[in-house]
Amino acid sequence: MGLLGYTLRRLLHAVPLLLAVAVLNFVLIAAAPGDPVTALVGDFPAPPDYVAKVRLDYGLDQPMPVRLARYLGHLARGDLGYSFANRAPVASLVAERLGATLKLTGTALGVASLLGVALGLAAARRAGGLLDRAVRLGATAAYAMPEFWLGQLFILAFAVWLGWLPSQGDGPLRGAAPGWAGVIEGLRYLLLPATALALRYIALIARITRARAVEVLRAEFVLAARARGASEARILLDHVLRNAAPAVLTVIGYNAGFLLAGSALTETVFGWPGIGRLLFDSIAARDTPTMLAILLMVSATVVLANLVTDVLHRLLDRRVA
Amino acid sequence: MSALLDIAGLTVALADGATLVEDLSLAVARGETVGLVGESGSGKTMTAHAVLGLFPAPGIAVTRGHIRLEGTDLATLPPAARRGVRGRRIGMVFQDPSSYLDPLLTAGRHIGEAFRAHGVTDRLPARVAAALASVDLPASAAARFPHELSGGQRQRVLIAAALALDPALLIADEPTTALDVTVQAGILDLLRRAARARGLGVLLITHDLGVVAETCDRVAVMYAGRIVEQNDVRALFAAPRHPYTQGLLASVLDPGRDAPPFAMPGGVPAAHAMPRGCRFHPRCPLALPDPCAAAVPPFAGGLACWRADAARAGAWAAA
Repeated sequence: MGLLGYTLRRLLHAVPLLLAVAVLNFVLIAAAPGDPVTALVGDFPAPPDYVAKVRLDYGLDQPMPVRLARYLGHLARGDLGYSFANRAPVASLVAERLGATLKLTGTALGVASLLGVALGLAAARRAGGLLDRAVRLGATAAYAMPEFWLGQLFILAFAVWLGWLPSQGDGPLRGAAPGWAGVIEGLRYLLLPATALALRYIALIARITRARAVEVLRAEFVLAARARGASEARILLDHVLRNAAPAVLTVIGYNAGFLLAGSALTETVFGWPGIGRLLFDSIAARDTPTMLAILLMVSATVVLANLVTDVLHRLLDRRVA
Repeated sequence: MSALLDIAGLTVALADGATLVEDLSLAVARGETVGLVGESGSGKTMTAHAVLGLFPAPGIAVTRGHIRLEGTDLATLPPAARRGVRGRRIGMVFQDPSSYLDPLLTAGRHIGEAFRAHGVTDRLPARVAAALASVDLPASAAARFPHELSGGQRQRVLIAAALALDPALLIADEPTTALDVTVQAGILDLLRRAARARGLGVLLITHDLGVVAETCDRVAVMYAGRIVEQNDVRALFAAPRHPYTQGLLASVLDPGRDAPPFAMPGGVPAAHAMPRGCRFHPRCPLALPDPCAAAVPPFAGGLACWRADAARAGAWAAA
């Protein structure tokens, strides 16, 4: 079967999956104690008829199945709903924040992929050597550290004590510098959160790359390539990297969900105005429409990441049927 | 005429000193096919790896001897120069073409790799097509992945890559062992034709005496890291002189004979448990406590055996 047909079929399969996710999310949140009206009104003693009116306005007086049906109906038309807490359409809230999250996760994933693969290959070249032992130890340590704790350490060290880098936000509040100065200013804000988020994935990718590369370097086809006179550098690029790639891509793809979860924590610690921060705030405010929209987006991203992983795997290895 | 490949006193050892090949001397002339035969573990493959300067596991090294190719001692070459010899002056074909081809690269990439490794980058598609044609494969095979090829076709791709730069010496390590019998003949024929057409020296490593009889000009029989007998192929088959060679030849299946083939008792000793004296003496029906168990027999006149005279009548006649 062609790759295009495969991709289309997988996309088709994603529709019922995402529908089930949407239903499950809605039911879970509806079943949880507390409701948006009490969160909106707060501890302030509101008159019962006011509370009843708000409930009516937001359609919360209806039984759950009716609300679910209405939610799914809106969803089908691409309407993500209205945020009680922010008094704005969810779609515009999410759109506003999406860029910041893509910048943070994209940077972290890009850096982690490049650095992780490079470290893994370098470690595998001299398995058991000094660099290999350093990479393995460093990877274990980095993997064990949660990003929110690491983020707070970074803030303490580089923002509070050393005062080198800003600790909050994705840029200066007012008057960003023009041209290159502005880009550098932006990078200064990006450095700490991106590093805090990337470290786990550098460790993860370095470990899987090293493990696969060590295996491939022992393969008989590598001996045959050496017998043809191929240099070690070419062998790493042409044979080892290519044969390690499916495993590395699979690990990256299957961790897409964890990367987004990590991003939510990192955004919260660094005051980064992204989707993760929005999710955190919407949970605190019982802002159900925003929560549901973000959870669905995360699920869609995970499904999409796995699809891309599988398609790339098939592109790299034609034996996968 | 000086030999193309001249191995003298070669010893290959593990890091702890146990020898895998000991004091091996062997020559291959241009246009000559020399068979290196013996049971598994006799050191045939290690000899091939020593010539290439590539060992499949760390800790194995050449500890003594010369390996001269066209007069240059390979063992003393710096690593970069050694790499320049591999693929360009010496081509190697391996036992199992399935595992010696990268599953993720096309046949064409494998052959192209040989060219690129030695700085040949122009007209690659044409060169690859010519290399494929030389092993009777169509140019379209270049785009095929290993899993899309048959075992015989895979071996042809490996041979094409090994011969791509027109080396002077081809080492073929059990090139037909992993193939169907019907395919074996085609591969052997191909190797024979390539050797004749290019004036190639071939070192053919095998345990299959049928392959030797069909392909080789000369045969060296290895046992436990040493060559025990060496002769012209006809002479060796007609009149094997070493008890081990006699045993090997007697164990070949003979359809014309009713009785089951002869099975030599025992097996090749491990590298760490080599017997003193003649390494074959624990399995030899003619062995004497002295000298066989006491001293290594010298290799002289194509034979290393203390009991050459007694063996002339057939060492295994009584067995």
